[in-house]
Parts: sequence; structure tokens; C-alpha cells
Amino acid sequence: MEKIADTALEQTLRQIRQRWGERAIAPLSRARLRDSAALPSGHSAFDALLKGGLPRGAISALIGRPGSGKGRLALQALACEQAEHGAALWLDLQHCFDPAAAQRAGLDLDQLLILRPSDEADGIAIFEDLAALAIPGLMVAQWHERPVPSLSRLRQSLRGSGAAALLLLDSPGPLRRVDPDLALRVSLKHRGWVQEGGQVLAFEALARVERDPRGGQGEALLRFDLPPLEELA
Amino acid sequence: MIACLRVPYFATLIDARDSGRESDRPFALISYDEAQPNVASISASAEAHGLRPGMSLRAALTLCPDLDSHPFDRARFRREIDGLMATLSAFSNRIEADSGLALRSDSRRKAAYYLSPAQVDPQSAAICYIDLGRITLEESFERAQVLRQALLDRGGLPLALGMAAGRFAARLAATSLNPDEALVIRPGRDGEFLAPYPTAALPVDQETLRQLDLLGLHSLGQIAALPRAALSDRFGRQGTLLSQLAQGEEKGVIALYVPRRSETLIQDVEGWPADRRQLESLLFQMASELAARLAAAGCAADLIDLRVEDEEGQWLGESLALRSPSSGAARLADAAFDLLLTLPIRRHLQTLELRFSGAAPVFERQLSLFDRPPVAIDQLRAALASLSGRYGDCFYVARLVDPDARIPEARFRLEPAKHEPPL
Repeated sequence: MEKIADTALEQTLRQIRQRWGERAIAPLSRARLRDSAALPSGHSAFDALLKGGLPRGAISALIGRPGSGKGRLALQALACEQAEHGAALWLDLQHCFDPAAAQRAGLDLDQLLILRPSDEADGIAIFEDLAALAIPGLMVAQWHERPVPSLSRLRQSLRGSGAAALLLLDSPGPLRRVDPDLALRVSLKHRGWVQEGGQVLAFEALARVERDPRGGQGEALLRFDLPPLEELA
Repeated sequence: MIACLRVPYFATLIDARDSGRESDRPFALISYDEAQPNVASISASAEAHGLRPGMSLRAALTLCPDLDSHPFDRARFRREIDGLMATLSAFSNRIEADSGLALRSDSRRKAAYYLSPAQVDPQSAAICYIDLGRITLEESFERAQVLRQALLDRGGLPLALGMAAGRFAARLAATSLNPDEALVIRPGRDGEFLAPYPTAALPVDQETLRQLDLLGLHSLGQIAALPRAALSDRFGRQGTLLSQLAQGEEKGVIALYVPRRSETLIQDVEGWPADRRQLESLLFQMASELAARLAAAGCAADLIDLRVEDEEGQWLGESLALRSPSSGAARLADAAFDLLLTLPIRRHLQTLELRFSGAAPVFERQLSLFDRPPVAIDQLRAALASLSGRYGDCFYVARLVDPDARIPEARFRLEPAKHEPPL
């Protein structure tokens, strides 16, 4: 009797999948209950501060001086997005992308696209084109000193898409003209090193949410473990 | 720089060209899609009689009793627009078409940002926007010539070409011209060009236009002179848009052009199938296979072509343009069967040819609770072909070339990213 019921269930599931697609129905054990509107960074304290992660369909900015952990957070977020089968892009305007750091963050380098356009305006235009295609994924731009060009088209293209854009900046200066286009703005500040037995194991950074459309606010102390020295050699 | 191409009386000109009709008699194409037949497209002489697209057939006949009319063939119209887009795709990968017909069918949706009922083109013109990227004024003139020549070579239809930094200004420039004329607005002068235009040209609803009128704002220049914050306070978000449009600072995005894809299946049939169910079943099988092929390419069908060959080798065919794209085999099979019933078949059938065409990419947004298939990176690689064409080879992937190298710089190398061949 049980076997007949199982067969009938399998047949029904097969019919539903044939008609509505492979992912139309699945056992609850396979379901990943996650907030699809947020893109997790993989850093639990940071995700808790942001109510789940970076907002999809919007532009976010992480602002902090070198060594504040923004690059680490971005690489981890890209790795999380890759794990969710999303696309991962890195706009490398200064030609200083570090593949070793990306590999340590768990990124699949074969699936990470690095953009090195002739100028920053082209970089943003590529982001706009990709956002218009509504390909789910995360696009990260490591910005330099020059002002960020208009982001309004990118903001419009991203709206409703499953993609997100993240700007990494050393200071808020370049954002002056485009600030209204940012949905999320977080500042990061290096707070100190974590030592044990005379050995530096990690560093801590203070993350402060300056703007979050979902109401996230406050501060959190983030710990970033350092890789063993032999890995860095 | 955005170019707006406008071909007035597009559908009727196509009809006249294909049927060889040269008469000056008022002519209209009639859509029978709704309960009450209405005018889908008109000729210049019909416009002179006061006819407008969207009016009922009865009203049109009252205004012009000797009106000559044909049923509107949406499939043929769509094919022509697709051909136009394909020609334009040689100039940019950001092209968008908007036609008087799309205007009405979309007017109830939010997407009607540029498509408010007030904006229905009285000449039922076909309008295409092309984003030509950052080009100089001299290049704009040059590009305008090349564009016009390419389109004249293609179909010989008279077109007006407006070029400006923004889409709104480009459209008004094209609308202000006679056929076979072109107007390029100098970069930074959009606001100056727009200033004398009446507020009625704005793509906003009637109520906003009425309020602008009550406030004594009758031209775009008057709106442009107002502080944006004041307009925003009065009209909310739309106020900001009004200010941007009037000042020529609107930043509408031209959508990426997705080439159409079509799949064909030819099946031999032994005589007219004995019963209707047998034929339905055959069409369903063909439709399922074609829909699956299109779905595998990320498309949904919006155009169905059916051709049959009878035992004497004579081909009969009919096309159907769906109002909304579909990838459901059952719906497509039903539509194909309806199409078959419209064919005047009098002899036994020998061959059945079914073709589905579609351009709309289907992104699986529904049911995302479960695992997403690994498609995003594939979609990205497929998009790289067109992006590389536009931005040059600036896409790389990092490869681990020597895991034992002592310094990280020697361990990895950046290589140009490989892309899928274009669709």
C-alpha cells in the first residue's frame, strides 16, 4: 500500500515538474529558507547588522580606509553569491585585484569576472548593461580617488533585478554627487589587532550603518581572522 | 547620444508596399482583437479626414464614409519591427522600439512611463530609440547620415531622425520633423530645445497636465525655470521627473537589444489525420518540443508561424502574434491549432511546419525558494560577446598557473575571459 502511495506521489511530482519546471516543487529538506531580497556577506555579525545582508536590486557602499576589512567583506559576499549560483564581477579600476585574497575568501576564480575598462565611466556603463540583463549576481567596484560618475541609470537598471552593486571606497569624497543613488551606506573603521601569545591572529573593525532602506542601524564590531603566515608567503 | 527614429504611418506604409496599393484613398488597418473593432493604424490621407489610432471603426466610418480598410496583421507588423531592430543592432546593443500600437496596449500598465494615452502618436508612427554612447557632435552628424542610409537601403520608408542627449528630447526632435529630415541637438542644449514645447508633450497623466495648467505652467521652459525642490514638494517623485524632463536631464535607460530566436519543426503527416484529437495531439507534441527548445535558450515565444503542404505540393500558411510571450506548450499548441483551423485546407495534408519565434528572455524569478540552477554565469558569458563588442576586451578571469610559486604575483595570471558565441 505504501509503495503504491509512493509511486503515485512520484508520478504526481513528475507531472508537476514537467508542467511547471524542475524547481516548482521540492521536499522541504531541500528548501533553503533565506531572505531572497538580501545578499549575505558571509560574515555573521555584519549580516546581522544589515538584517540579512546587502540589498538586492540596489547600490551599496562600504567606506573605510585600507585595512578596514571592506575588501574582505566584498570578497566573502562574492563567494556567497557564487555559492547561490549568482554571477560575480569585480571592477578593477586600479589593476590591483588580488587573486590570492579572492581564493582565500573561497571564490571560484574560474567563475569570477574581472573588469578592467579604459575608464571608470565605461565600468559603470558595463554594470548598467549587466543590470539591465537582470542576471542575478553581485558586482563590486573598488573605487579610487576620482568622483563616482552618475549612478542613476545603474540604480534604475538594478531595480527589480536580482543583482546588486557594491562600491568600495577609502573615503566618502568621491560619492558626493551620487549619494542619493545609494541605498545602503556603511562605514568601516579599523579598531585594533587581536593578539594571542604575541602572535597577531585577527583584526577588528567597527562597522556603522549610515543608511539602510530596510531600517537597519547601529554599529557592530567585526572580527576578521588573518590567514596563517605560510599562506601569505 | 540617443537617436530617435520615427517612421510615420508605418503599418499602413508596409501594407501599401506589400500589396502594391498606390491609391490616395483614406486607408486604415483595423484591429479586431477587442469586442469593438478599432483603428490600429492610419494613412496620411485618413489623418487628414480626422481619423486617429484607437478610435472605433464605427467612429472612423462616420468621419470618413469611403474609408478603405484591411484587418491589422499584428504578426507582420512585429516582423517588420524586428527587421528594423535587427538593422539598427549594427549600430548599438541598446535599442528599444515603441510603436503607436504598443502605446495603447501598454497604457494601463506602470510601464507606461513614456506611453501615456496622451502620447499616442496621431500618425501611428513606429519609433525606435538607439543609444549611440558617448560620441562627439561631428560623429553624431556622421552617424545620422549612416543610420538614415542603412534604413533607406533596407526598406525605403521615409523616416525622421532626432538626436539628443536624452530620450525625451530626441523623441520630440524626431516628432517635430517632416519625413526624410534629421535634427541633431548639441550636447548640453537639450533644455534650450525643449523650452518652447507645451506641457502637453510631457509623458504624464491628464490630471498632472491639468494641475500644471492651473498653476499657469504652459511650457517646458517655465517648468525648467522652477526649482526642482519646489516641483518635488508639489508633485512628489513625479515633480523631480518633470523637472528632469523639462531641463533635458532625463536619464531614461534604453533597454538592451535581445536578438530574436526562432525554432522550426517540420513533420510529415500521412493524409489529413482522421480525427481532430489526433491532429491536436500531433500539434501538441510539436509545440512541446519547440517550446522546450526556446525555453532552453531562455526565450518565450511571441510569434507562431504555421505552414502546411497539401498532397499537390501547395503551401498554405498563417501567422499569429501573441499578445504576451508564452513558454507554455499547451497554450502554444492551442494557438497553433486555432491557426490551423483558419487555413482553407481542401486536400489531404503532406507536411506540417511549425515555427515559434521569441525574443523575450525568460528569467526564472518564481519559486526561488529552491535551488537556483547554475545559469547566471552562463547568461553572463553569453552577454560578454555583445559587451566585448561595445567596450573592448576588458573582461578577464584569474587563473592559477603555478600553485608552487613563492610570490602570489607568479601564482596567478589574468587571462581574457572567453565568451559564448553570440546568439
